[in-house]
Amino acid sequence: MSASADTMHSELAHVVREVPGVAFLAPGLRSRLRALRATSPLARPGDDTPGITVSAPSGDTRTTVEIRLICRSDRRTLDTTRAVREAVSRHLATGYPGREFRIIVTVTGVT
Amino acid sequence: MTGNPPPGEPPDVEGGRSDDTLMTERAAEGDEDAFAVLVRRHAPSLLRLATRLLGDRTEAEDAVQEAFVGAWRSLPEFQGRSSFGTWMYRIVTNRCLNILRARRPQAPLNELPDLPAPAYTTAPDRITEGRAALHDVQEALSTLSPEQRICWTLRTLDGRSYAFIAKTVGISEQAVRARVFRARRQLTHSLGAWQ
Amino acid sequence: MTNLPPETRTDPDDETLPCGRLLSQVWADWEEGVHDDHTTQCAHCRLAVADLERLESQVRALDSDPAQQPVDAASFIDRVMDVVRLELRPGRPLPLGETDEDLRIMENVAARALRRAAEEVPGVRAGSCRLGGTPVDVDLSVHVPLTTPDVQALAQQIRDRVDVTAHERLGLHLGEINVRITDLVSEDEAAPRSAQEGSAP
Repeated sequence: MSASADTMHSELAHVVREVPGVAFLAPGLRSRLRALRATSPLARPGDDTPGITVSAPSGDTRTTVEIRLICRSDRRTLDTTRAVREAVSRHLATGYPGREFRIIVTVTGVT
Repeated sequence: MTGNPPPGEPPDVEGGRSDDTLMTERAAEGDEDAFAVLVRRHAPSLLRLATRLLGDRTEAEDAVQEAFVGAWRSLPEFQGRSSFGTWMYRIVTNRCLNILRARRPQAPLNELPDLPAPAYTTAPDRITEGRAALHDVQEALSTLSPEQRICWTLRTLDGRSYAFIAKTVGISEQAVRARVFRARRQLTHSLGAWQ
Repeated sequence: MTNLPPETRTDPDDETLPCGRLLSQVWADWEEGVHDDHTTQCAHCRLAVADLERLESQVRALDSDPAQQPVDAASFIDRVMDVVRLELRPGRPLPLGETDEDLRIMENVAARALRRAAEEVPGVRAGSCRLGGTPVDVDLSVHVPLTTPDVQALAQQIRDRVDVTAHERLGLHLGEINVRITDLVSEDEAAPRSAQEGSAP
Protein backbone atom coordinates (compact mmCIF):
# COMPACT_ATOMS: atom_id res chain seq x y z
CA MET A 1 0.00 0.00 0.00
CA SER A 2 1.42 3.42 -0.98
CA ALA A 3 1.92 6.10 1.61
CA SER A 4 -0.93 8.19 0.21
CA ALA A 5 -3.34 5.27 0.20
CA ASP A 6 -2.31 4.56 3.76
CA THR A 7 -2.99 8.18 4.67
CA MET A 8 -6.37 8.09 2.93
CA HIS A 9 -7.27 5.00 4.96
CA SER A 10 -6.50 6.50 8.32
CA GLU A 11 -8.14 9.81 7.40
CA LEU A 12 -11.30 8.05 6.31
CA ALA A 13 -11.29 5.80 9.35
CA HIS A 14 -11.21 8.89 11.51
CA VAL A 15 -13.96 10.59 9.51
CA VAL A 16 -16.24 7.55 9.66
CA ARG A 17 -15.77 7.00 13.39
CA GLU A 18 -16.89 10.56 14.06
CA VAL A 19 -20.27 10.03 12.37
CA PRO A 20 -23.13 9.69 14.88
CA GLY A 21 -24.58 6.20 14.87
CA VAL A 22 -21.34 4.49 13.87
CA ALA A 23 -20.19 1.94 16.45
CA PHE A 24 -16.96 0.88 14.76
CA LEU A 25 -15.46 -0.18 11.46
CA ALA A 26 -15.78 -3.83 10.54
CA PRO A 27 -12.96 -5.82 12.10
CA GLY A 28 -10.79 -7.69 9.66
CA LEU A 29 -9.31 -11.11 9.88
CA ARG A 30 -6.28 -9.66 11.65
CA SER A 31 -8.36 -8.42 14.57
CA ARG A 32 -10.36 -11.58 14.68
CA LEU A 33 -7.23 -13.71 14.76
CA ARG A 34 -5.84 -11.58 17.51
CA ALA A 35 -9.03 -12.12 19.44
CA LEU A 36 -8.34 -15.81 19.11
CA ARG A 37 -5.29 -15.39 21.28
CA ALA A 38 -7.47 -14.65 24.25
CA THR A 39 -8.66 -11.33 25.49
CA SER A 40 -5.79 -9.02 24.69
CA PRO A 41 -6.82 -5.39 25.26
CA LEU A 42 -5.21 -4.73 21.88
CA ALA A 43 -7.81 -6.87 20.18
CA ARG A 44 -10.40 -4.11 20.05
CA PRO A 45 -12.29 -4.09 16.79
CA GLY A 46 -11.22 -1.20 14.59
CA ASP A 47 -7.55 -1.23 15.47
CA ASP A 48 -6.72 -1.73 11.85
CA THR A 49 -8.75 -0.40 8.93
CA PRO A 50 -9.98 -3.47 7.03
CA GLY A 51 -13.40 -1.82 7.13
CA ILE A 52 -12.19 0.50 4.38
CA THR A 53 -11.21 -0.67 0.91
CA VAL A 54 -10.01 1.65 -1.85
CA SER A 55 -9.83 0.23 -5.35
CA ALA A 56 -9.84 1.37 -8.96
CA PRO A 57 -11.86 -1.08 -11.02
CA SER A 58 -10.71 -1.21 -14.63
CA GLY A 59 -13.05 0.54 -17.03
CA ASP A 60 -14.20 2.94 -14.34
CA THR A 61 -12.65 6.36 -14.09
CA ARG A 62 -13.81 6.55 -10.51
CA THR A 63 -12.00 5.20 -7.52
CA THR A 64 -14.22 2.95 -5.41
CA VAL A 65 -14.18 3.47 -1.67
CA GLU A 66 -16.02 0.83 0.30
CA ILE A 67 -16.76 1.38 3.96
CA ARG A 68 -17.83 -1.61 6.05
CA LEU A 69 -19.13 -0.76 9.47
CA ILE A 70 -21.12 -1.73 12.51
CA CYS A 71 -23.93 0.69 13.38
CA ARG A 72 -25.46 1.53 16.70
CA SER A 73 -29.03 0.40 17.12
CA ASP A 74 -30.19 3.70 18.61
CA ARG A 75 -30.17 5.40 15.22
CA ARG A 76 -31.93 4.46 11.99
CA THR A 77 -29.40 2.46 10.01
CA LEU A 78 -30.18 4.17 6.72
CA ASP A 79 -29.62 7.60 8.28
CA THR A 80 -26.27 6.50 9.67
CA THR A 81 -25.09 5.13 6.34
CA ARG A 82 -26.23 8.28 4.51
CA ALA A 83 -24.37 10.41 7.03
CA VAL A 84 -21.26 8.28 6.53
CA ARG A 85 -21.52 8.68 2.78
CA GLU A 86 -21.89 12.45 3.10
CA ALA A 87 -18.97 12.75 5.50
CA VAL A 88 -16.71 10.60 3.35
CA SER A 89 -17.75 12.43 0.21
CA ARG A 90 -17.04 15.81 1.80
CA HIS A 91 -13.66 14.69 3.00
CA LEU A 92 -12.64 13.29 -0.38
CA ALA A 93 -13.87 16.38 -2.24
CA THR A 94 -11.66 18.66 -0.16
CA GLY A 95 -8.69 16.33 0.25
CA TYR A 96 -8.58 14.95 -3.28
CA PRO A 97 -9.97 17.62 -5.59
CA GLY A 98 -10.42 16.62 -9.20
CA ARG A 99 -10.72 12.93 -8.45
CA GLU A 100 -14.00 11.06 -8.77
CA PHE A 101 -15.10 8.52 -6.22
CA ARG A 102 -17.83 5.95 -5.92
CA ILE A 103 -18.68 5.46 -2.26
CA ILE A 104 -20.27 2.22 -1.06
CA VAL A 105 -21.35 1.84 2.55
CA THR A 106 -22.10 -1.65 3.84
CA VAL A 107 -23.52 -2.40 7.27
CA THR A 108 -22.03 -5.65 8.60
CA GLY A 109 -23.54 -5.42 12.05
CA VAL A 110 -25.83 -3.51 14.36
CA THR A 111 -25.00 -3.33 18.03
CA MET B 1 -31.88 -60.62 44.51
CA THR B 2 -33.98 -57.63 43.58
CA GLY B 3 -32.22 -56.64 40.38
CA ASN B 4 -31.42 -53.09 39.48
CA PRO B 5 -34.12 -51.06 37.86
CA PRO B 6 -33.07 -51.02 34.24
CA PRO B 7 -31.41 -47.76 33.27
CA GLY B 8 -34.09 -45.82 31.44
CA GLU B 9 -33.73 -43.31 28.69
CA PRO B 10 -32.28 -40.19 30.28
CA PRO B 11 -33.94 -36.85 29.72
CA ASP B 12 -33.20 -35.52 26.27
CA VAL B 13 -29.87 -33.73 25.99
CA GLU B 14 -31.49 -30.46 24.98
CA GLY B 15 -33.50 -28.11 27.09
CA GLY B 16 -36.40 -26.27 25.49
CA ARG B 17 -37.03 -28.31 22.36
CA SER B 18 -38.99 -25.54 20.68
CA ASP B 19 -36.29 -22.99 21.29
CA ASP B 20 -33.59 -25.38 20.07
CA THR B 21 -35.41 -25.76 16.78
CA LEU B 22 -35.57 -21.99 16.32
CA MET B 23 -31.94 -21.47 17.25
CA THR B 24 -30.93 -24.20 14.81
CA GLU B 25 -32.87 -22.51 11.99
CA ARG B 26 -31.21 -19.20 12.78
CA ALA B 27 -27.75 -20.69 13.01
CA ALA B 28 -28.28 -22.48 9.68
CA GLU B 29 -28.92 -19.05 8.17
CA GLY B 30 -25.62 -17.79 9.55
CA ASP B 31 -26.68 -16.28 12.88
CA GLU B 32 -23.64 -16.97 15.01
CA ASP B 33 -25.31 -15.62 18.15
CA ALA B 34 -27.95 -18.34 17.83
CA PHE B 35 -25.17 -20.88 17.35
CA ALA B 36 -23.50 -19.56 20.51
CA VAL B 37 -26.73 -20.26 22.40
CA LEU B 38 -26.71 -23.84 21.11
CA VAL B 39 -23.05 -24.30 21.99
CA ARG B 40 -23.61 -22.96 25.49
CA ARG B 41 -26.61 -25.22 25.93
CA HIS B 42 -25.09 -28.43 24.60
CA ALA B 43 -21.38 -28.15 25.40
CA PRO B 44 -21.54 -29.40 29.01
CA SER B 45 -23.34 -32.66 28.19
CA LEU B 46 -21.27 -33.28 25.04
CA LEU B 47 -18.04 -32.68 26.94
CA ARG B 48 -19.19 -35.15 29.56
CA LEU B 49 -20.04 -37.65 26.83
CA ALA B 50 -16.68 -37.28 25.07
CA THR B 51 -14.76 -37.44 28.34
CA ARG B 52 -16.52 -40.71 29.14
CA LEU B 53 -15.86 -42.11 25.70
CA LEU B 54 -12.22 -41.09 25.51
CA GLY B 55 -11.22 -41.08 29.18
CA ASP B 56 -9.23 -37.92 28.58
CA ARG B 57 -10.51 -34.41 29.17
CA THR B 58 -8.15 -32.63 26.75
CA GLU B 59 -8.85 -34.98 23.90
CA ALA B 60 -12.54 -34.71 24.70
CA GLU B 61 -12.44 -30.92 24.41
CA ASP B 62 -10.68 -31.13 21.06
CA ALA B 63 -13.20 -33.66 19.78
CA VAL B 64 -16.21 -31.61 20.86
CA GLN B 65 -14.71 -28.37 19.53
CA GLU B 66 -14.13 -29.97 16.13
CA ALA B 67 -17.63 -31.41 16.21
CA PHE B 68 -19.14 -27.97 16.84
CA VAL B 69 -17.06 -26.29 14.14
CA GLY B 70 -18.01 -29.06 11.71
CA ALA B 71 -21.65 -28.59 12.68
CA TRP B 72 -21.42 -24.84 12.03
CA ARG B 73 -20.08 -25.58 8.54
CA SER B 74 -22.70 -28.15 7.65
CA LEU B 75 -25.70 -26.48 9.27
CA PRO B 76 -26.88 -24.93 5.98
CA GLU B 77 -27.39 -28.50 4.71
CA PHE B 78 -28.87 -29.75 7.98
CA GLN B 79 -32.45 -30.65 7.18
CA GLY B 80 -33.62 -30.82 10.75
CA ARG B 81 -34.60 -34.49 10.46
CA SER B 82 -33.41 -34.89 14.04
CA SER B 83 -33.00 -32.36 16.80
CA PHE B 84 -29.75 -30.40 17.08
CA GLY B 85 -28.95 -32.27 20.31
CA THR B 86 -29.37 -35.70 18.74
CA TRP B 87 -27.39 -34.65 15.69
CA MET B 88 -24.50 -33.37 17.82
CA TYR B 89 -24.59 -36.47 20.02
CA ARG B 90 -24.13 -38.55 16.89
CA ILE B 91 -21.31 -36.37 15.51
CA VAL B 92 -19.41 -36.42 18.81
CA THR B 93 -19.85 -40.17 19.30
CA ASN B 94 -18.59 -40.98 15.84
CA ARG B 95 -15.66 -38.60 16.17
CA CYS B 96 -14.71 -40.31 19.43
CA LEU B 97 -15.03 -43.70 17.77
CA ASN B 98 -12.55 -42.58 15.10
CA ILE B 99 -10.18 -41.21 17.73
CA LEU B 100 -10.29 -44.52 19.62
CA ARG B 101 -9.66 -46.42 16.39
CA ALA B 102 -6.66 -44.24 15.61
CA ARG B 103 -5.27 -44.96 19.07
CA ARG B 104 -5.30 -48.70 18.57
CA PRO B 105 -1.97 -49.22 16.83
CA GLN B 106 -0.23 -47.89 19.94
CA ALA B 107 -1.82 -50.48 22.18
CA PRO B 108 0.47 -53.35 23.13
CA LEU B 109 -0.23 -56.52 21.21
CA ASN B 110 -1.44 -58.43 24.23
CA GLU B 111 -4.17 -55.84 24.69
CA LEU B 112 -5.59 -56.18 21.21
CA PRO B 113 -9.22 -56.07 22.09
CA ASP B 114 -11.27 -58.11 19.70
CA LEU B 115 -9.95 -61.38 21.06
CA PRO B 116 -12.74 -63.16 22.88
CA ALA B 117 -12.75 -62.37 26.55
CA PRO B 118 -11.41 -65.05 28.86
CA ALA B 119 -14.19 -67.31 30.02
CA TYR B 120 -16.16 -65.65 32.76
CA THR B 121 -16.59 -68.79 34.83
CA THR B 122 -12.87 -69.37 35.03
CA ALA B 123 -12.02 -65.84 36.18
CA PRO B 124 -9.54 -66.28 38.99
CA ASP B 125 -11.21 -63.79 41.29
CA ARG B 126 -14.50 -62.03 41.65
CA ILE B 127 -14.72 -58.27 41.79
CA THR B 128 -14.57 -57.39 45.45
CA GLU B 129 -16.81 -54.94 47.21
CA GLY B 130 -13.98 -52.43 47.39
CA ARG B 131 -13.94 -49.56 44.96
CA ALA B 132 -11.77 -50.15 41.95
CA ALA B 133 -9.13 -47.51 41.38
CA LEU B 134 -9.67 -45.12 38.51
CA HIS B 135 -6.46 -46.37 37.01
CA ASP B 136 -7.68 -49.95 37.02
CA VAL B 137 -10.94 -49.06 35.34
CA GLN B 138 -9.19 -46.99 32.71
CA GLU B 139 -6.76 -49.75 32.03
CA ALA B 140 -9.60 -52.24 31.77
CA LEU B 141 -11.44 -49.92 29.38
CA SER B 142 -8.37 -49.64 27.18
CA THR B 143 -8.54 -53.36 26.56
CA LEU B 144 -11.92 -53.01 24.88
CA SER B 145 -12.25 -52.52 21.15
CA PRO B 146 -13.32 -48.98 20.20
CA GLU B 147 -16.75 -50.29 19.20
CA GLN B 148 -17.21 -52.18 22.46
CA ARG B 149 -16.07 -49.22 24.49
CA ILE B 150 -18.45 -46.82 22.73
CA CYS B 151 -21.46 -49.13 23.02
CA TRP B 152 -20.74 -50.02 26.64
CA THR B 153 -20.19 -46.39 27.67
CA LEU B 154 -23.36 -45.15 26.02
CA ARG B 155 -25.31 -47.98 27.65
CA THR B 156 -23.84 -48.06 31.13
CA LEU B 157 -22.62 -44.53 31.83
CA ASP B 158 -24.90 -42.53 29.58
CA GLY B 159 -27.92 -44.77 30.18
CA ARG B 160 -29.00 -44.89 26.52
CA SER B 161 -31.32 -47.54 25.11
CA TYR B 162 -29.98 -50.19 22.75
CA ALA B 163 -32.15 -48.77 19.98
CA PHE B 164 -30.77 -45.26 20.52
CA ILE B 165 -27.17 -46.51 20.47
CA ALA B 166 -27.83 -48.52 17.31
CA LYS B 167 -29.10 -45.41 15.54
CA THR B 168 -26.29 -43.25 16.86
CA VAL B 169 -23.47 -45.57 15.85
CA GLY B 170 -25.19 -46.81 12.70
CA ILE B 171 -25.17 -50.54 13.45
CA SER B 172 -27.92 -53.01 14.29
CA GLU B 173 -29.38 -53.26 17.76
CA GLN B 174 -28.26 -56.86 17.80
CA ALA B 175 -24.66 -55.79 17.19
CA VAL B 176 -24.91 -53.22 19.99
CA ARG B 177 -26.18 -55.88 22.43
CA ALA B 178 -23.36 -58.21 21.47
CA ARG B 179 -20.75 -55.50 21.97
CA VAL B 180 -22.10 -54.42 25.33
CA PHE B 181 -22.18 -58.06 26.43
CA ARG B 182 -18.57 -58.68 25.39
CA ALA B 183 -17.46 -55.45 27.06
CA ARG B 184 -19.13 -56.47 30.29
CA ARG B 185 -17.56 -59.88 30.19
CA GLN B 186 -14.14 -58.41 29.52
CA LEU B 187 -14.50 -55.78 32.25
CA THR B 188 -15.81 -58.08 34.97
CA HIS B 189 -12.91 -60.35 34.17
CA SER B 190 -10.22 -57.65 34.08
CA LEU B 191 -11.36 -55.91 37.22
CA GLY B 192 -11.92 -59.16 39.07
CA ALA B 193 -8.46 -60.36 38.19
CA TRP B 194 -6.85 -57.24 39.62
CA GLN B 195 -8.20 -57.40 43.11
CA MET C 1 -36.31 -68.57 28.44
CA THR C 2 -39.08 -66.72 26.68
CA ASN C 3 -37.68 -63.30 27.38
CA LEU C 4 -34.37 -64.06 25.78
CA PRO C 5 -33.58 -61.74 22.90
CA PRO C 6 -32.84 -64.03 19.97
CA GLU C 7 -29.45 -62.53 19.18
CA THR C 8 -27.90 -63.40 22.54
CA ARG C 9 -28.54 -67.08 21.96
CA THR C 10 -26.43 -67.01 18.85
CA ASP C 11 -23.47 -65.01 20.16
CA PRO C 12 -20.43 -67.22 19.64
CA ASP C 13 -18.76 -65.55 22.61
CA ASP C 14 -21.53 -66.48 24.95
CA GLU C 15 -20.97 -68.79 27.82
CA THR C 16 -23.05 -71.35 29.66
CA LEU C 17 -23.06 -71.15 33.45
CA PRO C 18 -22.82 -74.41 35.42
CA CYS C 19 -26.60 -74.21 36.00
CA GLY C 20 -27.19 -74.34 32.25
CA ARG C 21 -28.21 -70.73 31.72
CA LEU C 22 -26.46 -68.50 29.25
CA LEU C 23 -24.49 -65.69 30.83
CA SER C 24 -25.85 -63.24 28.26
CA GLN C 25 -29.40 -64.14 29.21
CA VAL C 26 -28.77 -63.79 32.93
CA TRP C 27 -27.33 -60.33 32.41
CA ALA C 28 -30.02 -59.31 29.93
CA ASP C 29 -32.74 -60.42 32.37
CA TRP C 30 -31.11 -58.43 35.14
CA GLU C 31 -30.88 -55.38 32.93
CA GLU C 32 -34.52 -55.61 31.93
CA GLY C 33 -35.69 -56.41 35.45
CA VAL C 34 -36.91 -59.91 34.52
CA HIS C 35 -37.03 -62.50 37.32
CA ASP C 36 -38.09 -66.10 37.48
CA ASP C 37 -37.89 -68.83 40.12
CA HIS C 38 -34.55 -70.04 38.86
CA THR C 39 -32.70 -66.73 38.95
CA THR C 40 -33.81 -65.91 42.49
CA GLN C 41 -32.50 -69.26 43.77
CA CYS C 42 -29.56 -70.24 41.58
CA ALA C 43 -26.21 -69.45 43.18
CA HIS C 44 -24.46 -69.25 39.81
CA CYS C 45 -26.92 -66.77 38.39
CA ARG C 46 -26.82 -64.65 41.54
CA LEU C 47 -23.04 -64.56 41.50
CA ALA C 48 -22.98 -63.54 37.85
CA VAL C 49 -25.44 -60.72 38.49
CA ALA C 50 -23.57 -59.62 41.61
CA ASP C 51 -20.40 -59.27 39.58
CA LEU C 52 -22.06 -57.15 36.93
CA GLU C 53 -23.76 -55.01 39.58
CA ARG C 54 -20.44 -54.37 41.27
CA LEU C 55 -18.80 -53.51 37.98
CA GLU C 56 -21.49 -51.03 37.12
CA SER C 57 -21.70 -49.43 40.53
CA GLN C 58 -17.92 -49.05 40.62
CA VAL C 59 -17.62 -47.42 37.22
CA ARG C 60 -20.56 -45.15 38.02
CA ALA C 61 -18.92 -44.13 41.27
CA LEU C 62 -15.80 -43.18 39.34
CA ASP C 63 -17.83 -41.47 36.66
CA SER C 64 -19.46 -39.13 39.15
CA ASP C 65 -16.08 -38.27 40.62
CA PRO C 66 -15.96 -34.44 40.46
CA ALA C 67 -12.39 -34.59 39.16
CA GLN C 68 -13.80 -36.26 36.06
CA GLN C 69 -16.38 -33.58 35.40
CA PRO C 70 -15.96 -30.62 33.08
CA VAL C 71 -14.95 -27.63 35.15
CA ASP C 72 -14.55 -24.67 32.83
CA ALA C 73 -17.20 -24.83 30.14
CA ALA C 74 -17.14 -21.04 29.68
CA SER C 75 -13.63 -20.83 28.26
CA PHE C 76 -14.35 -23.85 26.09
CA ILE C 77 -17.40 -22.14 24.61
CA ASP C 78 -15.37 -18.98 23.94
CA ARG C 79 -12.79 -21.02 22.08
CA VAL C 80 -15.41 -22.68 19.89
CA MET C 81 -17.03 -19.35 19.06
CA ASP C 82 -13.65 -17.76 18.24
CA VAL C 83 -13.16 -20.37 15.54
CA VAL C 84 -16.74 -19.99 14.32
CA ARG C 85 -16.30 -16.21 14.00
CA LEU C 86 -13.48 -16.79 11.53
CA GLU C 87 -15.99 -18.52 9.27
CA LEU C 88 -18.98 -16.23 9.34
CA ARG C 89 -21.75 -16.49 6.77
CA PRO C 90 -23.14 -12.95 6.56
CA GLY C 91 -25.34 -13.61 3.53
CA ARG C 92 -25.80 -11.19 0.63
CA PRO C 93 -25.88 -7.40 0.78
CA LEU C 94 -29.39 -5.90 0.58
CA PRO C 95 -30.06 -2.35 -0.61
CA LEU C 96 -30.76 0.25 2.05
CA GLY C 97 -32.80 3.29 0.99
CA GLU C 98 -33.04 3.65 -2.79
CA THR C 99 -31.33 1.02 -4.91
CA ASP C 100 -28.96 3.55 -6.54
CA GLU C 101 -27.66 4.84 -3.24
CA ASP C 102 -24.86 2.27 -2.87
CA LEU C 103 -25.88 1.77 0.74
CA ARG C 104 -26.20 -1.84 1.84
CA ILE C 105 -26.93 -4.00 4.82
CA MET C 106 -25.87 -7.62 5.08
CA GLU C 107 -28.75 -10.08 4.94
CA ASN C 108 -27.95 -11.53 8.37
CA VAL C 109 -27.91 -8.18 10.08
CA ALA C 110 -31.32 -7.31 8.66
CA ALA C 111 -32.69 -10.79 9.45
CA ARG C 112 -31.61 -10.46 13.06
CA ALA C 113 -33.37 -7.11 13.42
CA LEU C 114 -36.57 -8.43 11.81
CA ARG C 115 -36.64 -11.55 13.99
CA ARG C 116 -36.30 -9.34 17.02
CA ALA C 117 -39.14 -7.19 15.72
CA ALA C 118 -41.41 -10.25 15.41
CA GLU C 119 -40.52 -11.20 18.98
CA GLU C 120 -41.79 -7.86 20.25
CA VAL C 121 -45.23 -9.46 19.88
CA PRO C 122 -45.76 -11.23 23.23
CA GLY C 123 -45.17 -14.99 23.16
CA VAL C 124 -43.76 -15.04 19.63
CA ARG C 125 -40.38 -16.69 18.94
CA ALA C 126 -38.74 -16.33 15.54
CA GLY C 127 -36.64 -18.89 13.67
CA SER C 128 -35.86 -18.84 9.97
CA CYS C 129 -35.89 -15.39 8.34
CA ARG C 130 -35.03 -15.37 4.65
CA LEU C 131 -34.71 -12.16 2.68
CA GLY C 132 -34.39 -11.59 -1.05
CA GLY C 133 -35.59 -9.83 -4.15
CA THR C 134 -36.15 -6.15 -4.94
CA PRO C 135 -37.93 -4.83 -3.03
CA VAL C 136 -36.91 -7.28 -0.36
CA ASP C 137 -39.40 -10.08 0.40
CA VAL C 138 -39.40 -11.58 3.88
CA ASP C 139 -40.11 -15.25 4.68
CA LEU C 140 -40.33 -15.58 8.42
CA SER C 141 -41.00 -18.72 10.51
CA VAL C 142 -42.35 -18.32 14.03
CA HIS C 143 -43.51 -20.35 16.99
CA VAL C 144 -46.55 -18.89 18.71
CA PRO C 145 -48.31 -19.78 21.97
CA LEU C 146 -50.71 -22.71 21.85
CA THR C 147 -53.22 -20.49 23.59
CA THR C 148 -53.30 -17.86 20.83
CA PRO C 149 -57.00 -17.00 20.37
CA ASP C 150 -56.67 -15.67 16.82
CA VAL C 151 -53.68 -16.90 14.87
CA GLN C 152 -54.46 -14.76 11.82
CA ALA C 153 -54.59 -11.62 13.93
CA LEU C 154 -51.30 -12.56 15.55
CA ALA C 155 -49.69 -13.07 12.15
CA GLN C 156 -50.87 -9.62 11.12
CA GLN C 157 -49.38 -8.12 14.28
CA ILE C 158 -46.08 -9.76 13.44
CA ARG C 159 -46.17 -8.42 9.86
CA ASP C 160 -46.84 -4.94 11.21
CA ARG C 161 -43.94 -5.09 13.65
CA VAL C 162 -41.59 -6.34 10.95
CA ASP C 163 -42.72 -3.64 8.54
CA VAL C 164 -42.32 -0.85 11.09
CA THR C 165 -38.84 -2.05 12.08
CA ALA C 166 -37.72 -2.36 8.47
CA HIS C 167 -38.76 1.22 7.74
CA GLU C 168 -38.14 3.03 10.99
CA ARG C 169 -35.08 1.30 12.39
CA LEU C 170 -33.29 0.02 9.29
CA GLY C 171 -34.53 1.96 6.28
CA LEU C 172 -35.12 -1.13 4.19
CA HIS C 173 -37.91 -1.23 1.57
CA LEU C 174 -39.86 -4.44 1.96
CA GLY C 175 -42.01 -6.26 -0.55
CA GLU C 176 -44.10 -9.14 0.74
CA ILE C 177 -43.90 -10.22 4.35
CA ASN C 178 -44.79 -13.90 4.67
CA VAL C 179 -45.23 -15.19 8.20
CA ARG C 180 -45.28 -18.95 8.58
CA ILE C 181 -46.36 -20.41 11.91
CA THR C 182 -44.31 -23.60 12.21
CA ASP C 183 -45.34 -24.57 15.73
CA LEU C 184 -47.87 -23.87 18.43
CA VAL C 185 -45.95 -24.05 21.68
CA SER C 186 -47.24 -24.67 25.19
CA GLU C 187 -45.64 -22.81 28.08
CA ASP C 188 -43.46 -25.68 29.32
CA GLU C 189 -42.05 -26.51 25.88
CA ALA C 190 -40.64 -23.06 25.42
CA ALA C 191 -37.20 -22.35 26.80
CA PRO C 192 -36.65 -19.41 29.11
CA ARG C 193 -36.25 -16.12 27.30
CA SER C 194 -32.71 -15.96 28.62
CA ALA C 195 -31.90 -18.27 25.73
CA GLN C 196 -31.65 -15.06 23.76
CA GLU C 197 -28.80 -13.74 25.83
CA GLY C 198 -26.45 -14.15 22.88
CA SER C 199 -28.14 -11.60 20.66
CA ALA C 200 -27.55 -7.90 20.80
CA PRO C 201 -30.35 -5.70 22.06
